[in-house]
Amino acid sequence: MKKKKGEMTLENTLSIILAVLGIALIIFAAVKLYQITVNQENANAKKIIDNIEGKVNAMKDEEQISFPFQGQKNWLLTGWSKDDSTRPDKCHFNSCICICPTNTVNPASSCQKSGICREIDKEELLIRGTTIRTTGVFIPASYIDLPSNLVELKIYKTKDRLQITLNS
Amino acid sequence: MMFSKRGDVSSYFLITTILVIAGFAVLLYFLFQFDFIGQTTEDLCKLSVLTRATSPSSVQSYAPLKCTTNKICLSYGADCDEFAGEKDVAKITLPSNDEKAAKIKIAEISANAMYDCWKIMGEGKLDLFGSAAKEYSWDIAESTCVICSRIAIARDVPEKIASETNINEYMRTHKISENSDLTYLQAFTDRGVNAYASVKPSLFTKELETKGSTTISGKGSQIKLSEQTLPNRQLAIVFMQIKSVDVLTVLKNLGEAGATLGGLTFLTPGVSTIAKSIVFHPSGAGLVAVTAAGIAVGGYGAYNSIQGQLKAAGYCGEFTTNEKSKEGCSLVQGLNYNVGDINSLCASIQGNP
Repeated sequence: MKKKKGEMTLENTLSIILAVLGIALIIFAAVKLYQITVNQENANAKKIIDNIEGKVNAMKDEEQISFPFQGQKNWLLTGWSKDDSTRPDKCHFNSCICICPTNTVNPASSCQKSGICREIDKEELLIRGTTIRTTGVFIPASYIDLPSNLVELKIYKTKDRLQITLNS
Repeated sequence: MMFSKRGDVSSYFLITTILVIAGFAVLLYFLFQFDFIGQTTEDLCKLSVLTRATSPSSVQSYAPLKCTTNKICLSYGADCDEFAGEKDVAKITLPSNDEKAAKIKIAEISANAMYDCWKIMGEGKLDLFGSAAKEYSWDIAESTCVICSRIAIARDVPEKIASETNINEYMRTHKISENSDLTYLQAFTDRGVNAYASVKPSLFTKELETKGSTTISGKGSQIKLSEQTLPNRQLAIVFMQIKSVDVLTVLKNLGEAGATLGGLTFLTPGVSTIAKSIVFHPSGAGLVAVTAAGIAVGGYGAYNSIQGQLKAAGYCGEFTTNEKSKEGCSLVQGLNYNVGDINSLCASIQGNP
C-alpha cells in the first residue's frame, strides 16, 4: 500500500486511538490504586478516632481508664480546648480530639486540611505525648505520635476536663 | 488483507477494533463499579490478601489489607469491659448451667479464630508484607502482623472457667468442621500428627545468646511477656510474617525447642520459644529471659498466652505467589491484648482496628 508523505491512514488513526485509550487506562488504574491507599488510611484513622470517642463517651466523670489501640504510622492524635484560638475550624465552637497526618510544626493546619476530628463536650481538653525539646526546654508534646503497632492511652475524665496521655 | 483500497476497512479489522474498545469499556465499567458493598468482612479480607499477594511487587504496597479485627465477647449476658465504646462487637452467650460446655465453647471460638486467621492469611505461603515493607521503609527483617481477632471473656464468667479453658487440648481432639477428617492440630501440621511435641523446660529459662551459633540474627532482642497483676481476659489472635530468615535453621531450632513439625509447618509450644527460635527484631524488646513458671496470674489470656501454653501455628518456607519468591516464616499466635506482648511480636501492624 503506497502512502503519501504525511498522510495519515485510517489504520494509523485507530492505532493512535487505541494507544490513547491504553494510556488513559493505565493512568486511571494508577490513580485508583493511589486513592485506595489514601482511602484506606483515612478509613483506619476514622476507626481509631471513633474508638477513642466511643471509650470517652462510655466513661463516667472522675473515671480513669487505659487501653491499648492500634496506631497508624505518620499520623498523630491531638486536640484542642474550647477556648484555644489555634484550634482548627473543624472543631466549630467546641473542644475536640483529632487524628491527623503527622505535622508536628502545625498540627492545626494538618488537621484542618486532612484530619478527622470529633467534638468533645468538655471545657478543657489536654493531650500529652512524649517529651520533646522546644527552644531548649523539654516539655510534653501536645500530640501523640502514633506508632505502626500498638499504643496505650490513659484517659482521665472529669466534669469539665478530658485528659489523654500516653501510658508508657 | 486489512485494507483493500485506500480508506477501505476490512470487516476483520473493524470487528477487532470494536471488540478491543468494547473490552476497554467493560474493564472501565467494572473498575468504576468495583466496590466492596455487600461482601462480608471475611470475604473482603480474603480478597485483599489475594490481591496483595498476587500483585506485582512494584504495586503490592498500594494494595491495602482490608482485614478488620473481629471483636468477640464471650459472656453469660454481660458486656465485655474491654470493648466498651467499640462498635461491631459479636457477643456470644455461653451455656450458663454447664461449666464443661462453657469451657468447650470458649476453646471452640478461640481455635476457630486461630484457624480462620491462618486460612484467610494464606497459611503463611503468601508474601503479604515483603514489598510493602520495602516501600514503607520498614526493616524487611522486622515482623509485620495483622490482628485477626480479639476475644474477651466478660466479668460475669467465673475466673475458674476462663483460666481452665485448654485450647490446645481442644485443637488436638476436635475436628475443624463436621465435614472434615482433620483435627485442628492436623490441619495446622499434617495428617500424621496426633500429639504435641514435648517441650524442654530448660529452653524457657535460657537466654537468647546461650544458643550460640544456632541463633540467626537479631542478637539482644527477645520477647518479654508482661506480668500482669490482674487476670487477663482478652486474647488477641495475631498473624505474623517475617522474611529474611534462614528457614532450615529456624526449623532446626524449632525442632530443638520441642515444636510439632510437619514438613515446613509447625506448632510451637508458645511465643517465648519462638523468640528464641526464629529470632527477629521487634522494636523495643529488651533482653530478658522469660520463665514460664515464674508468672502466676489467672485468666483466659494469661493461662493461654503468658505461660506460653497456647501453641503457635506456623509455616516456614518459600512463598508461592510473589514474583521473586523468597523464604520467610509466618505464624498465628494467641497473645494477651496489651502493648507489651503484642509489640514484642509485631514491629508493625496492618489491617483495620
